[in-house]
Amino acid sequence: MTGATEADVPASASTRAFSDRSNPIFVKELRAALRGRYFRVLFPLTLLVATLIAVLVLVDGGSYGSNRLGRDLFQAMFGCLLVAVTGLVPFSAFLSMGNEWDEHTYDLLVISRLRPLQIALGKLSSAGIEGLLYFSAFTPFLVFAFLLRGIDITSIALLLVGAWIASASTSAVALLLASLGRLRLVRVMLMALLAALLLAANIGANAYVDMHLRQPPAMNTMEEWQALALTYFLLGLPGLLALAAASSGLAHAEENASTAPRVLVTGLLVTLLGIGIWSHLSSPSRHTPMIVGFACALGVALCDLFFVTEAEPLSRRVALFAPRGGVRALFAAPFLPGGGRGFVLFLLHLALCVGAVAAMLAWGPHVGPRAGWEVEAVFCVVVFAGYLVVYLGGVSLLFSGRTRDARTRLVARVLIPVGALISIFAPALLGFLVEDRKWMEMQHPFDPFWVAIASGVEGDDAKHWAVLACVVAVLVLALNAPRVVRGLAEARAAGVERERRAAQTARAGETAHAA
Amino acid sequence: MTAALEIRGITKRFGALTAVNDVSFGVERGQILGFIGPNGAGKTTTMRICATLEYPDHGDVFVDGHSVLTYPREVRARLGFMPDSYGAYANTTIWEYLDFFARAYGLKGDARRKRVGEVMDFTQLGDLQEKEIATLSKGMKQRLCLAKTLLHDPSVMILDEPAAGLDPRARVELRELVRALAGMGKAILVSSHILTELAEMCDGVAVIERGELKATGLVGDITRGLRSHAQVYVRVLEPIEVLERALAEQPLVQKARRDGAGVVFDHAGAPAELAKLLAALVAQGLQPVEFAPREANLEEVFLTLTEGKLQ
Repeated sequence: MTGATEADVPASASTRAFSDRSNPIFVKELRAALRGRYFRVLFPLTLLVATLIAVLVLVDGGSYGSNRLGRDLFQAMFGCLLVAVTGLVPFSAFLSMGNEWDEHTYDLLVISRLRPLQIALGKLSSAGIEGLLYFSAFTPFLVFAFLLRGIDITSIALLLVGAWIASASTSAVALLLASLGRLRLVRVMLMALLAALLLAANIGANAYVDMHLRQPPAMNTMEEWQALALTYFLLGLPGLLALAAASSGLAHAEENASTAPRVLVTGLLVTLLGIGIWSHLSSPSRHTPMIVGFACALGVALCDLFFVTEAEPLSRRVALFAPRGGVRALFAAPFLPGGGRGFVLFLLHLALCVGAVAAMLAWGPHVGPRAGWEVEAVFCVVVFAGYLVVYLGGVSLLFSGRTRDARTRLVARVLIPVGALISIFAPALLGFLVEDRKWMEMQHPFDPFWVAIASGVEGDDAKHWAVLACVVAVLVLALNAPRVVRGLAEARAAGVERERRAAQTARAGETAHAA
Repeated sequence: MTAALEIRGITKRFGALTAVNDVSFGVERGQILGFIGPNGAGKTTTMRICATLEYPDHGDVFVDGHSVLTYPREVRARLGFMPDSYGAYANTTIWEYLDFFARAYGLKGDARRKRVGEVMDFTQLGDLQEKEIATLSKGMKQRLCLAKTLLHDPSVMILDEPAAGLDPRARVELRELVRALAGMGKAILVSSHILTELAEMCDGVAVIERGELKATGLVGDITRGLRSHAQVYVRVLEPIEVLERALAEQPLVQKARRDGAGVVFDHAGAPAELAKLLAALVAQGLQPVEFAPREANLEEVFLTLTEGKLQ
C-alpha cells in the first residue's frame, strides 16, 4: 500500500496533533501560498526594496541628529511593512479566493464537511501567517531603527499590533470582495476597487504613523489606553464585519446565511452604544451623545442595507428550521432572512440608537447650552434616523419584488448608498449653477447632516425640513408595512408548521412505542 | 429493497425555466444507473440536487434515508460527487490534494494517511503522489478526482460525465474502476454522452429530456416497452435483391431495409411465426448464413425516447 509522504509525517506527536487539528483550508493554503510564484517573487523583492530604502535613509540621514535618523528609518521601514501586510497579503487572499471560482473547486469544498466560516477563516489564517513572515523579515530593520534611537519600544509595539490588526482587517475585506466576484469580469472590477481601498488604507495608516511618531502618546493615562483600544476596535471592525459577510456570502443561497450576521451586527451595535453611554457618563460632553447617535445609526444602516435587500420569502430549508411555535418565530423574525424582516431589524437598530442617546442625556449631567436642549438633541438623532429610513426603506421597497435575482439585489445594494450620496451632493452642484449660496454650502433639505444638526438650533428653517423629513419617513414606513406584515406572517407560519411537524413526529413515536 | 439513492418528485426552476420537472427514480446498492439525455435536459441539475449543491423547489432526494433538504450534512458524509468540471489547485501535488480533501471530510491522523494511501492504490496513483496536479494528463486528473470522491468511503456515488475527453484506454480503465466500485456495494449514478460506454458499464438507465423523465429501468425492459415488433437481421448467400423480394412476400414482415450485406426487418408475429418465416425462406431456395433477432441498443433507446430539443 502507498504510504504517507515524508512531508506529512511531522517529527513530534504534538506537531502531528497540531496539524490534525488545524483548519484544512489553512494547511492547504499555506502549502500552496509559500510555494506559489506570487509569494516567492514578491517576498524577496519587498525585502530588497526595503533594504535599498534603508540604505538611502541612512546615507541621507548622516547630516542630522541620530534621534531623527532612528525615527526616519523606522518610519520608512514601517511604511514598507505596511505595503506588504496591508497590500500584498490582502491581494494574496483575494487571489486565493478568486482561484476557487476559476478552478471550479468551491463546489468540492461545499460538499465536504467544511462550513463557509471555516473556509473564510482558513484563508484569513493563511494570510495572517504570510503577514507574520513579513513581520519577522522586517524585524531586523525595526530593531536597527530602535538601536539608532528616536523611537521608544512602546510605540513600536503599539504600531506593530495596529499593523497586524490592519493586515487581518484588510485581508478579510479582500476575501469579502473576492467572494462576491464569481465571474472573472466582476472580479477584475472588484480587484480595482480593492486596490483603491488598500491605497487609501495605506495612505491613512502612514499618516497615522507619522502623527504617532511626531507626538508619541505617553500611555500613562486611562484616556490614552481607552483611545488606543477604540482605535484598535475600529481598525478591526471592518474586518470582522467583512469576515461575517464573506462567510454568509459563501453559504448556499437556500441556507440561512443571514441570522449570524444579524446577531453579530446587533451585538456590535449594543457594544458600541454601551461604550458610548459609559464614555459619556464618565466624562460628560455635549458632543458625545450626538456623535454616538449619528455614527452608530449610519454604521448600522450600512450593515442593514444588506438585510433589507434580501429575497423576501424564506427558503424551504430555512422554513424547516424556523423557531418552533408561532410566538417564538414571531419574536425571532427580525433575525430570520428576508427583506421585510430585515427592515424590522433596521428599525429596531435605529430605536436602539435613539434610545441610547436618550439614556445618555437622561442619566448624564446637563451639558447643553440651554434648558430643554436634551429633547432637541434626541430630535436631531430621530431626524437623521428618518432620512436613513427613507434611503433604505424607499429603495429596498422598489426592488422588493425582484430580490430573488442576485443581480437585482446587487443593484439595490449599490443604489442605496450611491443614491444617498447623489441626493446629498447634487443639490450643492445645482447651487453653483443657480448661485444659491445656502445650497452651495450644503445647507439644503437633502443633506441629512445639516437638517438634523441645524434643526437643533432655534429659529432655523431646518426645523421645517426636519418635520417634513419625518413625515416622509412615516410615509415610507407605511408603504413598507405590507411587506413587513407578510414577512412576519411567513415567519409565524413557519414556526407553527414546525411545531405541528414536531407534534406529529412525537405522536408517531408514541404510537410506535405503544405498538 | 430501499434504494440507496432515492429521488422523489423533484422540481427545480431557474426563473421561468423549469430545469427539472417532477423527476423520480432510485439507484440501489451495487447498481450502476446511466443517466442520459440531450444537452440541457436537466441531468446536471438533478445530480447537483442529489449532491446538495442545489435545493429542489418541490420534492426531495434521500441518500441512505437522509433527506438533502433536512440533513444535507449527513447526505454529504454518505455521498461522493464527481462534477463535470472538477477543480484542481495550483502548486499542489496529488498527495497534498488528497490529504487536503481527507482533512476536509474530517479524517484525522493515521486514519487519514491510511485512507489516502488506499484510494491512491485503488486508482493507481501511488507512483505519482509527488507529481504536481498541473502536469497530469486528463485521464490522470479524472482518476484523481475519482480518488477524491472515494476518500470518505461514500455509499452513493454520482459521476457527471466522468469519461468526457478521455482516450480509449483511459475510458476502459475508468469503466473497470466504476465496475469495481459497484462490486463493493456502492450505488452509482453516472451520466455520459458516450452511450456505448454507458451500455457496457450500466445495469440500467434513466432517460431525461427537457427536465422530464422519459423512462427508467433496464435497457432491455425499456426496449420491450418501446417496440411493438421484434427486429430481425438476416443475411443470405444469394444477392440481397433476391432476399428483399422474398421478404416482401411475407405478410408479417415490415419495414425491411438494407443493413450492410443483409437486411433488417420488423416482425410482428410470435417466435413460432419467425421460425416459419425462416423455413419459408429456405424453402424458396435461399441459404441464410445469419438470422438473428437484433437487441435494441442504448443509442436506439435514446433516439426513440428523446426528440433532441433543447430548453
